[in-house]
Formats: sequence, C-alpha cells, structure tokens
Amino acid sequence: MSAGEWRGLRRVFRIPLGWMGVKADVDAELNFHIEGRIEELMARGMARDEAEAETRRLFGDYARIESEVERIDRGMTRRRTLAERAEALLADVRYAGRTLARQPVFAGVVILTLTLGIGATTAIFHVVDRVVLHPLPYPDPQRIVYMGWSWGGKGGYAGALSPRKFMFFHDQSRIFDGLVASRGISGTLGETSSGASVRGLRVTEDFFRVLKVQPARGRAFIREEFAPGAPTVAIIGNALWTTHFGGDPNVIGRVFRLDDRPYTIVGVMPESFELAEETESSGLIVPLRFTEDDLADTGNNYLVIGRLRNGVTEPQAKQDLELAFARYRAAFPDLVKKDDFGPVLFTYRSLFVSGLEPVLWILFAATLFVLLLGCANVANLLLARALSRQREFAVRTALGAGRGRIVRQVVVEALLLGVVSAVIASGVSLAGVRALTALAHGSLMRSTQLAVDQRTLWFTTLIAVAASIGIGLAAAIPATRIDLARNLTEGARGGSPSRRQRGLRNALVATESAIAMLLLAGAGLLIASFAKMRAVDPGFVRDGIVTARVAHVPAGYDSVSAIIEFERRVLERLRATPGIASAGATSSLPLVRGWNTVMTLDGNIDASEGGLEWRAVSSGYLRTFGIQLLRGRDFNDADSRSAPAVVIVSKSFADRWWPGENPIGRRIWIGRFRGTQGRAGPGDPVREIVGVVPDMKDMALDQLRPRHTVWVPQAQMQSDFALLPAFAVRATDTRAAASALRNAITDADASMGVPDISTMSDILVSSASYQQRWFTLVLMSLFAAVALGLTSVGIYGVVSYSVARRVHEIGVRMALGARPSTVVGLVVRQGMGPVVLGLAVGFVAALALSRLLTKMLFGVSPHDPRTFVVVAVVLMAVALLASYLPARRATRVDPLTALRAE
Amino acid sequence: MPAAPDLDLIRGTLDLLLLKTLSWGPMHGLAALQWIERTTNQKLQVEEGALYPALHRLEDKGWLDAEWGHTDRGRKAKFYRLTPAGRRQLATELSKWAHYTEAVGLIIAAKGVRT
Repeated sequence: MSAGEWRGLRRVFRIPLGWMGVKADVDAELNFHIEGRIEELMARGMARDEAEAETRRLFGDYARIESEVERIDRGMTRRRTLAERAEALLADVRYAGRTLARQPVFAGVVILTLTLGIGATTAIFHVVDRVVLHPLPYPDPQRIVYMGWSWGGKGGYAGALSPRKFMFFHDQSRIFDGLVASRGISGTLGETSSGASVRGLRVTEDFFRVLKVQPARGRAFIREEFAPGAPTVAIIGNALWTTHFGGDPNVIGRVFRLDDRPYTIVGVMPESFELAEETESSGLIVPLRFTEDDLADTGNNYLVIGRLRNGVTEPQAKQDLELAFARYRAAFPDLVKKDDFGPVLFTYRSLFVSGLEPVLWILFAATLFVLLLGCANVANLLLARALSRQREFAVRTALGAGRGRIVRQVVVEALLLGVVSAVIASGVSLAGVRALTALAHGSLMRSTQLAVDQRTLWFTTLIAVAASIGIGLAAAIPATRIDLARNLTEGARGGSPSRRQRGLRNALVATESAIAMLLLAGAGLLIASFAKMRAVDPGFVRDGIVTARVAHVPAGYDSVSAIIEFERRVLERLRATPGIASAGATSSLPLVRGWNTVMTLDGNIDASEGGLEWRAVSSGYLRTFGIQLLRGRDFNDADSRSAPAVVIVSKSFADRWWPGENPIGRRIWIGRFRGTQGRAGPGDPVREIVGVVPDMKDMALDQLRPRHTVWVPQAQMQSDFALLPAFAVRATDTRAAASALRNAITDADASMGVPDISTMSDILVSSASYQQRWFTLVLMSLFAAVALGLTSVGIYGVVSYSVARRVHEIGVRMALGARPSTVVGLVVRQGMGPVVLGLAVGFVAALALSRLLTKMLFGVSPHDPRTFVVVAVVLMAVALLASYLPARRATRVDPLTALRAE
Repeated sequence: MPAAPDLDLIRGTLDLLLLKTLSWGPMHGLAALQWIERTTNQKLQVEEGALYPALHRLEDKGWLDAEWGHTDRGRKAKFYRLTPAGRRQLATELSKWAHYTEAVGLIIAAKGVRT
C-alpha cells in the first residue's frame, strides 16, 4: 500500500492528530529508527548490548530530539486544522453562492427583505447614536455644564447670567477647569449696503479650554487679546471661511469689516465644530471682555458654560456654588433679592437636545420590529427550501454527514445572504439618514453628524450577523430533525409537514401578526392625533396670511423709534397696495418663538406672575389675524410714546387676576416681579388694560393650556429693545402679497437685507411641534406599512406552502366531491388560526405599550377604541386576502393530476 | 563498523540531501539515512539528531508528505515522499548549490591576486 493511498484514507476518515496522537506518532517513528539501527549493527556482527550502545551514541540526545520533533508536529497540526476549517468554510460559502445563484428570485426576495430591515434599523440607529447617545462634538462632554440662576420656588430660573455674576463665580468657584461667558453677535460683513449679515459669538478667555476644541488653522485667542484696547481679532467658522473667504488657505492675517469695524482673522474653526446654535458656530468668534459699564448691566443675558474639574461630583459642585453664593450675597447685598436662590448647573447636553429625542427610541424599536418581521419571513422561506431539500439532507446524513454539518451549511447560506444585504443596507441607510434629516427640516441632526462612522458600521455588522445566524438556525434545526427511514422511503414528495414544523411556521405567522398589529396601532394613533391637530381652530386666521421677518437690523437703527419709523413706512405702503386687506407689524409672529416677561399688579407687590408671553404689535395687527376683542378696544395710532401707556391682555390672564370682574381700566406693571415697585430708573411704565382678546393656540396648535399673553403697542416699547420687526398682511392673492411685502421693505430701506417671506401655513408646517408630529407620523406609518406588507407576504407564503404540500389530499377531497368553497374554507381557516391568535396578542400588547406614545398623542386616548378597531379590521382583511389567494388556487387543482402526481 | 568519517555536513545542506534522496521514491527516515551513507561510501555521516527535526520541518513546509506504511519486512514505519512543491524546491536548492560550489571552486583555484 503506497503512502498516497494512506493519505487518502486518512482524509476520508478524518483521523485526528491530537496532542496525544502527536506524541505516540513521534515515539513510534523514532523507535522504529532505533530498532532498525540495532538490527543493522547486529547484522554486521555486533553483540546486542554493544549495538544498543553504539546506536545510542549515534542517535544523540533522544529526549531533546523527541521534544523538538513534537513541537514541529504540533505547530503543523494546528496550522493544518485551521487551514482545513477555513477551506471547509470557504467551500460551504462557495456551495451556498452557487445554490443561491441558481435561485436568483429566491435570493433576490431574501436580500430585499433583509436590506429593508437592516437598512431601516441602521438609519434610525445612526440618528439615535448621534442625537441621543453622542450629541456633543467635544471631548469629555459629560463634564461640560452651563450655569443658570434660580429664584427658587415659583420664581423659576434663568438659563443665563449677568456679567457681574459671571465674573464673581469665575473668580470664586473652584470646581471648574474653566468658565466662559458668551453672547451672540450679528453684523453686516464688508460693505454695509451689499454685505451679508453674519452671526457669531463673543466669548471670554476660557472658551477654548472649556470646549477643548482648537482652530483647524491659525490659533486660539491669546490672553493679550482680551486686554483693554487690544486690536480686534476674530476666529471664523468653517462655513464662513468657505462661503465668504472662498476657503483661502492664506486667510490668517486678513482683515475684514463687521459693521464698519476692522477685525484681523487669527484662526479658522474645524468643520466639525458645532455650537448649540448652528448659525453661531458657522459664523465668527470674537473676544469678549467685560468693561465697567457691562458689569453694571444686571440683565441675565450671557450664556455661561463651564468644564467641571476631573473628579468633581455633583454634591461637591453644589456645595462649592453655595459657598460662593454666600460670599456673593455678602459682597453685593444690593444686588441680591430675597427670592434669589443662587447659581444652578445644567448639563450642557440639554442645550443640544433635539425635540425629536423622545420619539427616536420608539422609532428605533419600530425598526427592530420591522427587521424581526423580515427575519421571520426569510426564516420561513429558508425553512420551506430546507424542507424541500430534506431528501438531499437525508442522503447526506446516511452517508455520514453529521447534523451539525448540514445546519452549518444552512447557516452559512443565511450568513451569505445577510452579509450581502448588510453591504447594500449600508448604502441604503445613508440615503435614509439624509432623507430623515430632510424630513425633519434640520431639527434632527447637524450636517456634520451625517457621516457614517465606526459605531454605525459595527452596529450594522452586529445586527446582520445576529439576524443571519438566527434565521439560519430557525430554518435549519427543524429541517434537520430527519427521520431517515421515512425520508428515504417516502420519496421526494415527503408527505405533509410534521406537526413540529407546522407549529414553527404557525408561530412565525402569529408573531408577525402581533407585531403588525402593534405597529399599525401606533401609527393609527399618531395619524388620528395629527388629524385632530390639523383640525384645531387656533383662534386666529391662517388662510391668506403672508408674513415677512427681518433677520438683521443694520447699524444705524440704534433706537426703537427709528425702527418704528421704518415700520410705519412699510405699513403705509402695504395698506395702499390693492389686494391687501389688512397689514400689521409685530415683535413675534404666532407659532414663532417670542419673548417672555413678568408683571406685577399696580399697587400690590405680591401679586406677580412670571412666564408671560409678551408681544409688541402695531395697530392693525390684531385685525389682520382676525382676532376679535372680547372687551375694550384695539390699539390705534393715538397710542403713541407720549400717550398714556396701555396693554391688551388675553382672556385667561384677565380671568386669573380679575375673575368675574371687568379688567378694563386695571393697571399692571410689565417687566417687574415683586418688590421692585417704586424704584426709580428706566423701564416699562405702569400700563392700563384697554382690551381683552380670546385665548389662542399661538404657541403651537397642540398646546394644551392657553398661555397668558400681554400685548403692548410697539410705539410704547422700552427704547433699548432689540426689535427685529416682522410684518403680516392678509390678502386674497398670497403670491402678489409676498412680492408686495418684499418691495415695501426694500423700498423703505434697501440696507435692511432680504426678509424671510413665508405664508402662515408655511410657518405652521415648519413649527417645531408640527414637524415632530409629522416626522414621527411619516416614519411610523412607513414602518407600519412595511410591517403589514411583510406580514401579508408571510401569511401568503405559509398558506401557499401548505397548499402545495397538500395537493394530493386536496385532489382526493375534490375527487370525492368536496365543493371548492369547502376546500377554500378549510385552507383559509387553517391559515387564519395563527393570525387571529397573533392579532389578539398584538391587541393586548398594543394596549399596554401605547401608553409610551402618550406624549406624542393629541386629542386621542392611547386606548382609542376607534383606532384599535379600524386597525384590527384592516389587518384581518389583509390576512384574509393573503390566505384566500393561495386557497383559491388549491381549488383549481385537477383531481386527476393531483392523484397522478404520486 | 568503519571509522567515523571526519567530514561534517556543511550547515544547510541537509535539506538538500534529504530532498534529493527522497526524489528516488518514498522512504522512511532510517532508509534515507542509510541511502546517504551508502551512496557516499560512508564518507558523509548525517548527524542522526538532526535528521528527524529536518524531515518534520520539510513536511511542515509542504515539501514532503508523511504517511505510515509497511516496510518490506512487514514492519510499520513512517514513509516520506516528495510533494510537487518539494520537487520544485529541490530544483531551486540544486541550482543554488551549483552556484555556490562554482564560486567556492573559483576562489580555491585562483592563483594569486591579479592587479
């Protein structure tokens, strides 16, 4: 027998060369050598003991040689086993590839299903990861906090500090690595008449230390640049650098003018740099130093951000601030009022929180469900396929292939499909993320968060592998419970599937139905809420309203009266325009973020209220929005600066302070909160209430409680108010009105810049609450629709399969005279069994889980019976159709053919 | 027993000798050793301690195949056989050896230094 044959046999029987095997092998080989030598020497006439001694001499150190040879063999065995396994796996992959290539439709359907599931899950994960898990683009973000000021109890708190407070805590508290105050700036770049308006931030010295970011080009500010009289310098954002400076690599040292003041560029921020306010980070950063005048300003207008020292705990931080506040109270007794509670810290992260954050987890769960559905369908397909290959498996098992070997083959097939899907899904998900961002109108993520990173790739890989292995095992394990004798004798037809296999398919259908019910119920509730919100009467006219907002007031308008004069010219022009029924100006439009204020009743120090909505409007504004006065009068041109100060209030505000009484003629002091009455100095005068208007939904259509609102005539505003004027007109032809608005503003002052023109419907659609609802609704409905589709395909598949396996039986029934309707009924009843079970489970689960949606619902109970019934009926109807179609096909079976198919 | 020849094997040539020996056909370790001794008229003695590590290393490199078989006298022995890769390796080693001996021969035959 030649060595080659031996080798072949060992391959066939896979003789393992284990650890013990190696040792025995080497010993046998060396002993053969020694025996041979001894015999050789004895044949030449040596005595046995002499021959043995000579052999030992010749051979040398037996133990050393033995161990060296063993070491070589063990390494060789290990490497060969690995290589063989890799080879076997590769062979499996090649075999799977060939099998799938022969069934392109099957492979295509599976890949499409998995791509959908993996792609959707990955896209939502990407968003969750950026928005919820890693929202801050700074190192060690959890140590960054911002400091606000609390008035304890009902007084609420401010999210910003005055310069004096900032300086004090900057110098006194020991818990920070750095503390920075910042305030936005805006200005016109370059030539005043043609320049673009930019926004940016003025920051104190610790800015770069707190955020731990550095300019990508040039350098950060140096200490001298914060000194009085230092030359003005600026660091520009990446966006400004590319748009305005054309990405000039030699931009450092260039001088530009902002509102006619020269700035030297010393740095450019990296593209990834982001602030909570995106427009600020894209603009410019300039040094901020507080002058004596600034320190006298008691307004809490500066955002204060700090980086906590390593190891500082929350209680330590609190204690440190309390001590510092005690010193502050001692140092500035005049500035501290009795309600002052001192500084409080908030996570900086909370400034970055997207309004969509709460819905993201729910959407993520929804995509996981969709993926699960897809996996169930694919497992079902693979199972059907594996069952039809049972004879092949049986033959292989009979030839000695272990069950594990066959399971591995099926799992490898699933993995191959999963990997191909994951690769496609990665591309699809990126498009999905872009679509999501577009759908959310930029309120979801910043553009720098769009890129795929390692975390997303890991997630995709993980989920694809987990799904594939799950699918492979779910299909392979039942399919390989092979009854050898039965399968080999019964022939390829295989008879009806075993009870256990049918049980698994039914479980899959039931699970799918339950998940579909859950997702459909969620989507249904959101749709009902959205419809309810759309139907809300906000209390003001929306149709035919066109608005214009001025983004930036150029230098030169240093007083409110100058702006009001500008407004007067615009309004005059608008009112003379044919087609415009009414026009007005305001400090803030409905459904747009406005101004807060506080007030105290005249003559009663303790009767104060905070958190009031404050709107300064021109005459004609209320009329434009069709707001009727419940009592009193509207503002008119007589309400000038020199006339008695007046105010119009909302009904709920009047009801709170003067229940059942006539508020007209009462007096309130806006901008004053307790104990400040009688203090001399500038500020808002005591105002007399001249009118009452109804409560409106002018914060958001789905606002639950009316917001107490005060309306003041624009002419009577404090003189230093930073008014950005907005206009509204009511017209029949909104397009003409839009151009009339644009022209009126440009003609009144060409340097005012291009206003933002939008209809009231545009404003509604882009309002945060509308956006959030729409975003959630679209995605939930999409996922629910996909779930419904996958489930019906699943039901269809299972019923079709069972019909195909029972062709013979159905043929017999028909031959014996069963009517088609009886056969259809039989098949449909069997198909619907697991569906009904799944629906019931899904119904209960939806009732339990819909409470998670409560925050996103509006005017609809989480257990809204109408939604639940409609959803259940829809699902039932789709399931009936999905099982009726294959059932009907069963009745077309020609009994003769069926019987002959033996 | 002849006197032990005083010719040490030049380092690195054992692989070449084994490959060449096995090119005549499968052999077990002892047979290969004896063949070398016989062919060189006992002038060359392979150190037995180096023989088996060398054979196993060559097997690990894929130049030899090793399988258990039976000797003419019915004993179980491990036979080594040259693989196609081993045959290629032998050709490489042979040409390397030819170059080496040629160069060494030139140096030895040289008569003084020409200037």
